[in-house]
Amino acid sequence: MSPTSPLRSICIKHLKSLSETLNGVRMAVISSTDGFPIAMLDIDLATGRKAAAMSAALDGLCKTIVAEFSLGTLEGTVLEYKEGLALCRQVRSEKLNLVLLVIVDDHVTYGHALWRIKSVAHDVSLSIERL
Amino acid sequence: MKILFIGPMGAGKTTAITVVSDVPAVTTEALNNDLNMKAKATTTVAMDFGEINLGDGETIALYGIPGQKRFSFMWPILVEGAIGAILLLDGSADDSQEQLIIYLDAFFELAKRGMLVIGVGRLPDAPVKALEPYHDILRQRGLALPVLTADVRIRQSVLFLVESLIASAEVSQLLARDHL
Repeated sequence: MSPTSPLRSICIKHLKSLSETLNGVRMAVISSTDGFPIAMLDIDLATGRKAAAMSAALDGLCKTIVAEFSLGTLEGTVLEYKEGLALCRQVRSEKLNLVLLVIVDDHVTYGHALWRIKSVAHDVSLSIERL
Repeated sequence: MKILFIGPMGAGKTTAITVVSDVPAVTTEALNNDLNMKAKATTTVAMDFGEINLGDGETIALYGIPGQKRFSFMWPILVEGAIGAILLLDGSADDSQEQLIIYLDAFFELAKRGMLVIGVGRLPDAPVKALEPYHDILRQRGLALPVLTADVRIRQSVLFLVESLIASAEVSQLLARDHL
């Protein structure tokens, strides 16, 4: 994807907004559902590529679990690690679906992180619709 | 018993598992954005799963890997506990022999133990001759592994690959017992 593509610009804008309004963001990546990075925050390209592939795999696996057990629609996945959280959130729109992965440290409260990341995913969806 | 289906994107791993499984296969398909790599609508991003019932309560669990290199972090996770693997290759692809080398290296432990069966699909009319380059690669590496033609859309064809792998496993077990 071109560094100047409108989709990438939108995603970067929203990732920056996330880091400005949520303490403790260690890194964030928005990727395609088949594992290509669209935009990344506070992470080098090689790690971003890896994170994009891993979040797409995690998203794909979680979607399948939700579908297999008739749990409705997957919204997101939360991984708890000793010093924080990794949150993987679906970014759904009519035009395309993406995956948002955000890793936060323990400076953030669980509920606040969930709420902010949900809001950002929603905002990215709206921006994509307007593209 | 657990068997892994490995191979590059578009080789037919998901189709093979879906065709041969006695239960509805579990797949993790996502929209494929990499149409230059392979012109197909969807691609596996985490794993496929299916089962073959052997009739006496025994089952063979079938796991498929995501074929793209960027998902290679899934490979060691999925290979855990597998008795062996079926390597599927697209014989019509220009890089199918390169892909054989890539997967022999990535799953070297299985190849070394003889627990790998290679199924080549989409071959021209003279498949036996077309398999020679694959045998040559194996010979160069000192490996003697079954290389078979395969049509992953046909259940019997996939079952034949599975049976070949199980036969290899049984031979390995017998040899190991003889060494004791």
